[in-house]
This record gives sequence, structure tokens and C-alpha cells, in this order.
Amino acid sequence: MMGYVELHCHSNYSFQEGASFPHELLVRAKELEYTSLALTDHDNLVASIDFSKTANDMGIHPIIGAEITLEGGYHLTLLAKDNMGYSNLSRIISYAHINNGRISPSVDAELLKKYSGGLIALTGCSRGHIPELLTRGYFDHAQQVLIDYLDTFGSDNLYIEMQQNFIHGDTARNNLLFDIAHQNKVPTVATNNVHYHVQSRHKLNDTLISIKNNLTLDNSHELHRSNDQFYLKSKEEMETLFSSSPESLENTLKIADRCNFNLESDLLYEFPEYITPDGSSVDQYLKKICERSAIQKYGFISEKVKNRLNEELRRIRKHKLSGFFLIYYDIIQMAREVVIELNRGSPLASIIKNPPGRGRGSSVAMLVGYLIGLSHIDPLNYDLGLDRFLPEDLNTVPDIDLDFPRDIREELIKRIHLRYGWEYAALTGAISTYKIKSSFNDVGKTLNIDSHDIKKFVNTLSDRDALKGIELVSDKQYTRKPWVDLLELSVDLIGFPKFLQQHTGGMVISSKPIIDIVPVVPGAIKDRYIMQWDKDSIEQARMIKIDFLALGTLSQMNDILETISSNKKELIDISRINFNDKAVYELIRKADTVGVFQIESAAQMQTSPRLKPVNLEDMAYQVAAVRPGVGVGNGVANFIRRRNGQVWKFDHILEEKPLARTLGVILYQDQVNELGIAIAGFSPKEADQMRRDFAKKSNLQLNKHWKERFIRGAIKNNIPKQTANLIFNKLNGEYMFPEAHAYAFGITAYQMAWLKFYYPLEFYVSLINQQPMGFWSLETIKEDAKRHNIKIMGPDINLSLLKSTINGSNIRTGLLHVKNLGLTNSQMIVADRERGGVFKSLKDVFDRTDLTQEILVSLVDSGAFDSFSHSRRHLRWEIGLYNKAINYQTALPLPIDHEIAKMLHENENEIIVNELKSLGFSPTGHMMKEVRKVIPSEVKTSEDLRGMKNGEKLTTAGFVVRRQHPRSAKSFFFTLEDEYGHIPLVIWESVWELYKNLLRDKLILVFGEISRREGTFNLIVEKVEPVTIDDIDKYENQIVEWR
Amino acid sequence: MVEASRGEIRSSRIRQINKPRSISIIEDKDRKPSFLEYKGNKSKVLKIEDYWLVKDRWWTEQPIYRAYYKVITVHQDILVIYRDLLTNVWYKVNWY
Repeated sequence: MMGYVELHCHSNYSFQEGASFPHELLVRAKELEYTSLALTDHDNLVASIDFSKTANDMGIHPIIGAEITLEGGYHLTLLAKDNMGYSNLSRIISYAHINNGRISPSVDAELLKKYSGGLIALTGCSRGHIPELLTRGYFDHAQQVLIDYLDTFGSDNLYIEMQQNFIHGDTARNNLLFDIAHQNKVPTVATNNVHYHVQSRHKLNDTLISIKNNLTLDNSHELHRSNDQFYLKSKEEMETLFSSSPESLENTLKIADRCNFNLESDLLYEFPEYITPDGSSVDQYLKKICERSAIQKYGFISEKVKNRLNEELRRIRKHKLSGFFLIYYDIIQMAREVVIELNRGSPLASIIKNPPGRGRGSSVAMLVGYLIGLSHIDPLNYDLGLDRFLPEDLNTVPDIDLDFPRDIREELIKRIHLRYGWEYAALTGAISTYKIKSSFNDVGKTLNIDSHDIKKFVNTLSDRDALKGIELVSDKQYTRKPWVDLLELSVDLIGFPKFLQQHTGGMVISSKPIIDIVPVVPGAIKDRYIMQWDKDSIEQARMIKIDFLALGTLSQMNDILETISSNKKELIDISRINFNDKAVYELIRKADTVGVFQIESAAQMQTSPRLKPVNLEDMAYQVAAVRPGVGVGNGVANFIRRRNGQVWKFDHILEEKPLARTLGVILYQDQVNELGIAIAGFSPKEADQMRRDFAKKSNLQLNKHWKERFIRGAIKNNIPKQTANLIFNKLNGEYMFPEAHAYAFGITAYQMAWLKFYYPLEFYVSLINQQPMGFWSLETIKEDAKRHNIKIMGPDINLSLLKSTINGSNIRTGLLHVKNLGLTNSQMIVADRERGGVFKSLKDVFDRTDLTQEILVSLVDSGAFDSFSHSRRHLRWEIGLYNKAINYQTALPLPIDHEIAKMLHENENEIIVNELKSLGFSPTGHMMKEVRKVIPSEVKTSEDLRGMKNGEKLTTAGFVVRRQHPRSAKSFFFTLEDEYGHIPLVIWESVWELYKNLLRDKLILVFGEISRREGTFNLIVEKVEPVTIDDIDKYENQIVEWR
Repeated sequence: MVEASRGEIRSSRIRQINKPRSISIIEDKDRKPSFLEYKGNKSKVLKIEDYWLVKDRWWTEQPIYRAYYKVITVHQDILVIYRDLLTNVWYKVNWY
């Protein structure tokens, strides 16, 4: 037995060139009893950390490498022997992208030579320079390239790579490669150019290549590998293939032995050292800043503040984190400069009183964070404990995320790149992945299926159907080609990486060049540089990531506070509002939360009246409860029932520590780890890896592995196997909030609710101006404002500014909301009005501006010219009479009065439809009011429903404004809207199956039964009917457009 | 000037060129070709010089799954033959 390990292996992180996840390759490698496995994705190290960590956990030695692209498009396989080799590989990939653009990386001979140290080179697949020259008959040229490679890497570090995938030409090429190796005394090595872990994935690999080239499978089949032999082969299979060259197999083991670098343990990252301006130590300097701020903040340092500050500074010193906090302090100062430059704050306002961003996550518990401007929240006021963020036994660097208004964040990122340089400060990468729709669409295109048919098909599937794929499709036509392939391939593709992109705001700052640790490549936006690791890899590498996130709600909050300040001359410190305000909690309990961050969704609105929050801790429960991971196993309902008095007990007493605070329910992500530690005796690191593996796709084998370990560990803790099974089955990989994050978001949600309750006018005007954001459409927001006695008036050519503004106790819509008008035209209108006075007529607008007829029509439809005429139809006719000359000759001012016809007024239907078309909402009314005139009078309104009893049956109707089907639920949740409010619908899957075509309509009529529980109501749908009125198509088209 | 062809072009007259022809093969225990009937003679396969696999058009109703052999017979003829792995029928390809 010679032995073999695979040294040339692509995962799906080769992006459209590999059809297996790294963990799938590793699980298969384990089954094949590989001792090592190399990962050699194309021109990237995106999956390197995850691969290394999973391999180490499975007892496989991970080898990090890449198949790089040389000048001329030739391939070369590089493997890292040691730290230097890894850094050089990272540099080669970085410069290949920086020098040649992010789409077409290319490595020249000079770059290769400069960074060849510590690397082993294999001459590559059939697209390698030497193999390709030999195939074309250029032996001498190949000989020269080989000499160059020997010169670059040294004779100890170069291997002639031979592959036998049973492609026509492989045998002849291998003979030539063997000859050239023999003549030059260069060793050979066998690889299989793996692109998938098992043969059956070759179809997906072909499909990915077609997707990459934007071609159908028919038109791209010459680009595919022409058989299914690029899978992870057993040693026995490889021994058969290379029986004539056993040394090429033995060399795989020798190379694996020489590649000693282990990314998980040998990383080189160091957080930058902080140089204090006064020469004091970082500990002293941080203390000084905090004490100065505390005096500014509190007037004096009380015993309580002093004790807490001392305790925090002691822990910070213990974990050597003073420099870490001071770097954040600098960044906050930089953000402050940006705020002032963007005219978003007064230069006189101190950071202490007016921080430019705010922390989220567990960092809000730090008094130090509050004092240096990282957070708005005074932890002493809310008794926030220190142990979550900075425990005594902290073994990782804490993560501080900062939220900023959108514009400030954009500028701040640029500043940091400038301050530190792209080699020392880079943005976190993010992996865009295939979702259900994009999988079906992309695979469908390769199979040449009409896009309308795919759309129709996808619409018949719920998310869960799509994931289960073919099993649930009963329609016979879908069991034939090409549909059967579409289903099989699309389901496999869901979750696959699509491309590397910029994370929403994570940045890493390092004291050593980042390109020694991970490749850095140019971003799609100019002057941005992105690391080839996503946030999870960065966290696993224990790098300190600083998250600058753009949070729409912060922009809205800023707007509200500025509007209150200018409108009412009140300065509000949002961090010092009353967080125990009963009236605000009443608003939340009534689910009056349209537009309120985190608690405005239909599901949240159903939860808050049942959960009845009364303090910030409850707010954390509230925002954490409605998450897919909590829904699994009926977590939300159990939590609420237990909170409201239901008797319950733990399945085992060891659950008490992790789950007591949430009444035995897993509400937070952290509790999955805590259960692993408490029940199975895992180390924190093992428990965290388990949680991460749960969230991976195609993880059946991994889950099995964790289940075995979990139960084994539990039995050691004297927990009966049956109980251990019961507890393990509570765990899942669906998304949940980390506990600290829930607190931070819960506080922001409360602040927004407070603003909505006390300053509704400012709240709505800011919400409208920040669109698109949040859960609801403008039409729904308008209706909600109406219920708060605020009228959203349409735009007016003589009164509107660019953005919407407060007008008495109502809101005047801004010009920017008018379709087609845009910023430039809106500015022109406002400027002309200021210069030449109000517009007197439509003709006056036409003469004084350059607005096209299309824009003028849009303005008419929005109601912007209502002051000129009572008939919008009349105005549209008038526009048709004006025509701008297309040349520079001035048009003759011919009279047109004789051409103006007397028009009938539009009816309300037409007005509403046109407003929806022009504005996305109708200031005039609600479409349902019009629809109600033509539907049976017994159809109940949302207002009627509120007074009805549990179990009563009724028919109602409305426009569908939300459809949801959480993965953990057995029903669909719709929200209907009528002219009085919302109607929450619950549609069981059996009913959905019967009426799914009708339920896709915008306007529906439903029959069902009222279900009341714990202060909420739903309509349990039993029957659905179409609404048959003459003009419904016209209405629906408009609605589809603006929803 | 070249005169127009008198014949009318019709699709029915288009035919596939170099269409693989079925060939009679005697396989060894590993299902490799050991004898083949060629030009009316039964020839022993002296050497299999190359072997490759093609798996293509799996997305169509006519998928292709073939094992190709480049063989040299005792008569020094070089032939490319393949076994259709879906039907187990052997064909000869006009390769050269």
C-alpha cells in the first residue's frame, strides 16, 4: 500500500468552478482515510480558515494552497510549506488582483520569483504552462519554462504534476510530463484536480461553468470537463491510475509532510500598538480620558462610577486591551470630524454628549465605552453587567460593532483607508450566496427554460418546498426533463458561494501588513480594499474586526432629533430618556409599531401584545424572540406561556445554568454554546464550533458527528442517553440573536418607540424621508400616520421642498418622492421658485423649467399642480398642447386657449391609481374604500374584526401587504390592509395548497374564523375567493409596481 | 461563373458524416476489447494505447456516456472504438 493524499482540490469557493463545500470534501476525505488534504481554490484563500478549522477538528492535516493564474492564463498549483510560504501566497494573490484588476488576476514571473519562498509548486493541470506546451509539441519551450520554475522555486520545491482524469489527451500528456521530469531529474506528483467530493456533483459543476459563462449547457458543453472523473478518489483508485509511477503517489505524502503550516495555530496577526500623545502608558492614558469624560458627563465622579470604572479598567489592563479601546477612541474622533465636515453636528458638541455612532452588541455594557463615545447607553442606569462583554476569563478579543448613519459611515471608511493604508486596514469580505430564487433562475437559464416558466414554478413553491425539492412536487410535468434537473441542481446550489463582496462595514486594522495574513483585493467601489475572508473567518482567525455599520434607523433617529431641534427648539439626549415609560410600553404592547426599528414586522406585532414588555430586559426578549432559531420547537409560544405563569421544568438540572434566565427556552445564540458546555462538557471553543457547524449547509454528516460527541459527553456527565437526545434535539442551526445584540437592539427599538409616542409628526416625516427602509410600504406608513391624526399631503409645486416637511400638524410630501423627477429637477424647481417667485400656472412651470412632458404628467398625477386646476385630466390634456422645440430656436408663443377642452373630473379611483403610480402612495385615500363600493356589503372591515369574538366566522377583504412563511412554521402569515387598518391572516398549509393561485393576487376576499389569544387576534383562513370587479387588473398592476 | 446547382437543397438530403458504425468486439474479463471484427477479419487487439471517458449531454433526453479506446491490432491498424455505456454496444469512430 503506497498511500495517497489529494494536493489539488477545489471547493465551491473557486466560484463557479467547484461543486462541493469544503466540509463536504473533508467528510469524504475522512471516509477515504486521507491523513491530509490540500485546498487549492482558484486565486483565492476565501475558505482557508474554515477549511483548516474543520480539518483540524476532524483529525485531517489541512494544507493551504491555491491554483494561481499566471500571465497568459496558465495555471500553477502552489502549496504553503510554512509561515513564510503562506504569507507569500497571500501576497501573490493580493498583488495579482491589485495589479490586474479584481476580475482578472494575473501573476507575472517577477512577482512569482519575489514571493516564492516557503512555497511548493506543482506544474498544474492541463492548463499549466508546461503541460500545455508539451501537448502542443513545444518540448524545448516547455524545457525552458521548467528551468525558470526551478530557478524560481528551487529543485526541492518543484514537482511535475500528473493527472489522469480519463480525458482524451491525459495519457499522452502524462507520458510527455514523465519524460521531461525524468530528463531534468524533477520529481513527479499525482493529483486528481478535484472539483467535487462525489461523482454525482459533476452535473452541478457543469452547470456552474455554464452559469459563469452566461451560457446554456447546450452552448457551453465544450467548456465543461468532459466526464465525471474529477471527484475525490480513493487511494486504491489512484494507485490503479498511477501504477506505472508509484513515486508520484508517494510524493503526495512527502509533500504533505513538508507542509507544516497550520493556519489555525500559526497566524501572524497583531493589533496595532497605540502610541499615546503624552508619552504615558496606554493604561494610564485610557484612565485619564475616562476620568475626564466622567467629570464632563456626571459633573463629579461618584463612588458608584469610580468603583465601576476601576473594575473595568482593571479587567482591561488584565487582558491588555487598553490599546484596543484607544484605537476605537481614535476612530470615534475621526467619525466626529466627518460629522462636522458633513454638517451633521456642531463642532462644539463633545463626543461625550453627542457620539457620532453607537455601539451595538455586548459592548454597550461598558462604562468605558460610554465615556469614550462608543455608546449612548449609560450602563449604570440599566444595571448592565460586565461579564458578558469582559469576563474575567476572557480568551478572545471582544467584538465592538458601531452603527452609524449611512453618509457618515461611507466617509469614515475612506478616512481609515487613508490613515492606515490599504495594506494595514482593509474591509471585511462577505460571500454572496445562492438563494432559492437565484438558484432556480440561474440553473433554469442553463437548461434553457423560459424565465416566465421558472418564475411561475418558483412561485408555486414555498421556501421549504424549494429546499426539499423534487419530493414535494406533485405536478407530473415537473418530473420530466428539464424540470427534474432544475429541481435537483437548484436545491444543491442553494447556499453555494456566488462571489466575494464587501461586508456592510467590517474593517480590520493590523500592525503588520494584512496581506501577510490574508489576500486583499480591490473592491467594486473605487479606493476600497477587501479581505478574502468573511466575518466568520476573521473571527475564527481571532483578528479584531471593527464593524462600521450603516443603520437606516440611526439616520432616521438623527433626522427626528434634528427636526425636533429645529421645529420645537428642543434638544433631546436620546440616551437619557426614561427607559421605564409606561406609556411607551403601552404603545409597544398595543403593537402600534409601524416604522419602529425591529418591532414593526407582522410577527413582532403578534408577539408584543403577548409578551407585554415592561423594561429593557423584556425589550431584549422581544427582539430576540421572533427569530427562526427560536421558532423551531415552538420556542416563542413556550417562552410566552411560561412567562405568563405556565408550570414547567428542566429536562435535566444541568440545563439550569444556561437556560434559567429564559425559562428553559433557547432564546439566544449564546445558549447553544452554553448547553454544549454544561451538558456535553465541551470546551467553549468546541461548543462554538458545534454551533457554527449547525448553521452550515449539507451538514448531515457534521451534525451526526456532533450528536455522537454531545451524547458521549452527556453520558460522562451522568445524563441518561434519552435525556441527552432530548436536549440535543432542542439545538438547531437557524438564526438567533446573540444576547448582547438583543439588548443593544432592544434599547434602540425602545428609543424609536419613545420618539413615535412623543414626537409622531417628526417620526413620520423622517420615516418617509428615509425610505426605502423598514418593513412597510409608504402606503402603509401613510395609513398608519392617518390613524395618528397626521395627514400626509401630496406634493405641491409651490410649497414642497426636496424632502417631505412638517406643515402645521400634517406632512407635506417632498418633490423627491415624485416618480421620474429626480434630484436635479427637484433642485431646479425649488431654485427657480426662490428666484422667480411662485409658479402661477402649468404654462408658467413649462416656460420656466426644462421639465419633460413625462415628468410634468408625473407631477400632475401626484397632485403637485392641484392649485392650478381642479381637474388633473384637464392638466394632462394641457401638457399635450405644449411642446418644447428640439432645436435652439425659441418656440412661438402661440395661443392655445382655443384648444383646451372642457374635461370631466376624474373619479376617485383614477386619482388614487395615478397617485400610486406617481408617488408610491395615495394622499387622497385608500384603494379599498373604492373597492368596497362594489363588493358585497356583508364583507367585514378590519375595524369590524377588532370587535368580534373568538370563534366567530366572517368574510373580509383587503390588499395583501405582507406574506411570510417562516421555515419553522406550518402555516403562512399574511397581512391584509384595508382603509381602516390591518388584518392578520393565518393560512394553514392545507388551505394554502387549495388556494395558492388565488393567494398570489394582491386583492383577496377570505372567509375564516377569528382566533383570539393573549390579547391578539388572527383570522384563520378557511376559504379564499377572487375579487371580481371590472377594473381590478388596472389596480393590481399599479399596486404591483409600488409594493 | 459557377452555375447554380440543379439540385434543390432539402433537409432530407443532409446526413451526418463520420457517423460511428457499430462494430463487433470480443471483450476480455475486464470488459476491455480483446478482438474486433474489422474489414471482414477478426483481429486481435495488440495494445490499448489510450483510454478515455466521455459523459456529456446528461441534461438532454439523449445523454452520452462512452468509454473510448485507441487500439492497435495485430495487423498494425490503429482504431478508435467506444463502448456506449448506456447500451453496451460497441462502435468504431472514423478518427483519422
